[in-house]
Amino acid sequence: MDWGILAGAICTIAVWTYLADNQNPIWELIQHIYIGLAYGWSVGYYWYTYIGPTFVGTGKDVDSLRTGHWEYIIPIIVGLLIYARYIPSISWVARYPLSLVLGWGAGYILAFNPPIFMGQITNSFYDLWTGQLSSSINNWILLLCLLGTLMYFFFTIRRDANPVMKGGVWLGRWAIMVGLGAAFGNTVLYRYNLFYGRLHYILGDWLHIAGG
Amino acid sequence: MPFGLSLLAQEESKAVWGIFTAGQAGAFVAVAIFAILVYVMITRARAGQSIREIHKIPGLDAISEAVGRATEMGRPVHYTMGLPSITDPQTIAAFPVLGYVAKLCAQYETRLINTVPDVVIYAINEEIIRQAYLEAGRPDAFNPDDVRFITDWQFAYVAGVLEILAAEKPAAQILFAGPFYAEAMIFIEAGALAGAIQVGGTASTAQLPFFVAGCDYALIGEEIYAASAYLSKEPIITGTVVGEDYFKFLIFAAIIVGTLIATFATSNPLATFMTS
Repeated sequence: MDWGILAGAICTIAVWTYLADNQNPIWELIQHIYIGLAYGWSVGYYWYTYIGPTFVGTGKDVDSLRTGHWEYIIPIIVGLLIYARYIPSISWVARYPLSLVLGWGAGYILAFNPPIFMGQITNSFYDLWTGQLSSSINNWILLLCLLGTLMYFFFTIRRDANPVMKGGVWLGRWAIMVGLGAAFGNTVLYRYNLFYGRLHYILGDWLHIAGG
Repeated sequence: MPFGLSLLAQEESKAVWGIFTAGQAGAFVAVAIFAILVYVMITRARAGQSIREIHKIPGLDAISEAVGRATEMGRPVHYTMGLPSITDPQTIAAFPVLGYVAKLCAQYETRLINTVPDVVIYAINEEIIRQAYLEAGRPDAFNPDDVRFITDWQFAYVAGVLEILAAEKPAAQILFAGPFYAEAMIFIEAGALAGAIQVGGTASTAQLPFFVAGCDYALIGEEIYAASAYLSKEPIITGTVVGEDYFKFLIFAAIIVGTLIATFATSNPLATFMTS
């Protein structure tokens, strides 16, 4: 008997018991085990990939304090300042590392997001007469839906300001809903696939009664 | 990619002065225009000069309605940001909304439970909620134990949230603003089981359909950024959204011009410039 498969199957069924009762003891037991495992794994992960190699110098060929990279003292001190929040008299100090992280996050977004939307814009330059009726109509629909959707997201022009805006927003809303409907269908199918995967695991890999 | 070609690719993409990368001149010009627009709008907003107003977003009223319902029922409000990351714009947009919700909860004396799967966001959220309670004049009502880091594993976090929803039975759940992934629908379903009114908002395209289908009110896409500005009334955020709107108008115009060129000309210099 493969004990790994047995454990996986039991865990899967234990999670499914949530559907019958969302506070039953089997579900709560497996839930606590899962969270505990995840938390323990994270502690180990951060130790072996970040803290250990750079702070203590446990990693091979990794720059660390032990190999003379004293500049790591700065981020370590900044990071440790977060714990000041547990000392009421100096808890305000903890806001500095948080501000630094927030500022870095905003800068990162600004630096690495723009190239994505430039490509999206230029890919929206449709040829409205391709020489073929079907593809030309397709491009017209794409363009009108795109412009309508853009109008839907104008936040400083009232949606009933004029007939053009009103019509554009109406078209945009329909385009968004049709798009979301298609995405909904795709995602639901994907979730069914996941479910079939688990069924295959239990009936095939574990019980050997179906699925080969 | 073969090793030699890989080295060549690295050489080509090397940035001049660490800033200017080949093939991104168009993006640089766009960002420069955007920055100027935002700067001008923020300056005008700060100086009290007139800028265009942000119109009201219907889903936003639902937030105060949800908190009001929780108050009447004497049950808590649960706020989740999905799987937030400090490098995601949606997470940044969620902070003012969390502050707004926390302030409402403090004023109405309603318990707010915030669950978080990220240690950095956890620390930030705790500060935001603490500050909101302080601004509402009720710092004593803030309970740090109600801001809960569970774990940074996606589905282990989900398991923790499901337990909280089942045990605490919040009367309102606010899922704002993400990014959300596969956990979104599970939260919405568990919120419905707990009998909570649910207000959601995200720009995560794959999860938006679930928000629209499952939440009582949903803010879609960029509405979350406008909501952030509308609620905070901060000149910086408001100016940014107004500046963004002008920029969107430029994009709108660029698409029309680019389409006309693509239809009537053999080459498209606008597309070439924008991707140059």
